[in-house]
Amino acid sequence: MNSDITPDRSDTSHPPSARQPLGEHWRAASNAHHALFADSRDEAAVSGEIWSIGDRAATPDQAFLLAVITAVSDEAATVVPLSTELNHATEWDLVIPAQTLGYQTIAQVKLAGTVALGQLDQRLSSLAPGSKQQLQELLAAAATGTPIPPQHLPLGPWVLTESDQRLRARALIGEQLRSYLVPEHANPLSEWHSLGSILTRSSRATGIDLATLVDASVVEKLRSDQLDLFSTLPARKMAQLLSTLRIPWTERVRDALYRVVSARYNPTDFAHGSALGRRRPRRTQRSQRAHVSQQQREQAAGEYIKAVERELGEP
Amino acid sequence: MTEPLTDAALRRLKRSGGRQAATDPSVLALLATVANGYPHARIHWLTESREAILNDWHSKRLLKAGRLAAMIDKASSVGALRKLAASDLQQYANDQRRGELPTRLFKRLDKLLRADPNRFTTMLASAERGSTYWTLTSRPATAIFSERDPELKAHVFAVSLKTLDEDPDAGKQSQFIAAGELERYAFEMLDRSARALTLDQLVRGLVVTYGLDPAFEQPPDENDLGGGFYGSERAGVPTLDPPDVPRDDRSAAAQRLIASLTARQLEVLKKFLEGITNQSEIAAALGCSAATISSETGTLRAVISALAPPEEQPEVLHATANLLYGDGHEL
Repeated sequence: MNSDITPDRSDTSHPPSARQPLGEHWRAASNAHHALFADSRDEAAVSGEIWSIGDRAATPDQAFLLAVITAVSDEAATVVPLSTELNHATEWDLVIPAQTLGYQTIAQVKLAGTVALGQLDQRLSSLAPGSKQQLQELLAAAATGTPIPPQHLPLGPWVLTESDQRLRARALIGEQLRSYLVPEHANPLSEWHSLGSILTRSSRATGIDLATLVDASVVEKLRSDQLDLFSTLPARKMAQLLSTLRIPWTERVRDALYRVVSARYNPTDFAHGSALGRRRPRRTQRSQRAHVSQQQREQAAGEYIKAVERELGEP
Repeated sequence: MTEPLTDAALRRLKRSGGRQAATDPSVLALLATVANGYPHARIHWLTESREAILNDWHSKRLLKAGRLAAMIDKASSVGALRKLAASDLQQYANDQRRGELPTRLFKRLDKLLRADPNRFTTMLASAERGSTYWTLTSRPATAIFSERDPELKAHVFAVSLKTLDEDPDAGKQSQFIAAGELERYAFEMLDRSARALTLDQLVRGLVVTYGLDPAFEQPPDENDLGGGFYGSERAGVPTLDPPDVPRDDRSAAAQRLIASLTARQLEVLKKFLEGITNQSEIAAALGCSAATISSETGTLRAVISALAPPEEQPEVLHATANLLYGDGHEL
């Protein structure tokens, strides 16, 4: 028994050279807590912990994937990969503070997936409570399919166009990660399927508020793809909107527009179509929403697209 | 002679969070092996001695922002660490080679903006060439671009440039971006943003997006961390504190923890914080039996459990580590 150790509580700091570099205290504390209580609790991974994960084929000398555990079952764990490539951060990547691991990372929720418990190699740290809550919020947003994440979170710069290199990088990394996990999102670029997302991003890119371009009362519906464009926004206006926001007429934009028009087409029993320049009649008690067949929806969407293309001077 | 790094030692280093790796002799020996054995042809522009290259690589890159710790965490074996280190050394050498690029890009962009008044025109002139605002002649802007790097980066990424790869075997450094592509960059930045940009902003966009000059990196601007329209754009800005942790309460609990421990219990706790969790190892380090350490560990658990519920205990230990090791001005 060593009785020579006397605590000097007047000096609780080390000389500068012996101090831990910035960011390591949380990791040290998290791991110390885990080690201290490991024998009195389940040693399996739990949500919020960060682990190194081997590839599925257990390839020798293959680098580990670092990831946050977000759910655990008897045989598998759902994880969100962490990346040290901070330059790849988009608005769907949560910035994890340097103190969590000793270096800054981003949590890539669009690349989340499932791994077998046997692939988990070593517990490295855990998310601080604030980061854990932020990640849960971002994951919940991704699960609902919303194209734009909550804006108060510490995220990367927005992707403004579909040609952004970070989207290509995300798709490529998604492919590479298949050797480690089964992806949760079939398409890691799904946020680009929405017209509302494209308009919102371009509004941000140009610094032009959507409310200055269309009736302010319809902006939220427009952003969330809930607006019946055929009845509400004439093709001429839509073309003007695309042009002002510098949105090129690409296949993705056309498809997104087609989807919204066909999904939201909801005419009254009067034959009209403000979208095509026809005067919209005043609605009376007699006017009612008519049942619309899929064929009618597709026809309306096709007409609308053609009208927008005419306005844009597209062939 | 230094013991070679083993896979078991690598796992131990991970437990300590890479902190010990910075000075671990076996890790330094591995890095020296990588630096000394790296083919000259691939880093021929680094003319210093291999020892000087190793020192610069270690101090300027590996220790910066925890890069070495990240490599240790990702390495599944010593062989994997060697591969990661070699790849990182090449990246370090490439970065060194790019030192003069920002100045050259400034000159090239300045020349092309002035060359064609039918394409580019000034919106706000300035005595400083870099501060002059440029816009498109055919579509003049009525507003100027923000000063925020994240917004700038978002636009540069949107342009999606085709950059020239650096060929390590080539005698000369690449010009990074071909002339036509540089003109497209200037045009699309002004067109897509619908705002005027300065020459400095155009250059900075390339520098911060492609990491062309680490010296260009600025410390985080706390004003950028608030809410507002671009409040979510914080990539690259270190957020030092986990949000929503009431630090005062944790600090008080940490002080109570330290005050209630005996000298040996405090030393045992420090070992756990340093990543040494094996009771025999701790016993050997403190000169007592493993049974004593087991008993002291049990007391530690009881004291910590009495101070805070399980979900708050890591935060109390975090505050304790800050008190024991000094949290400096950073934490």
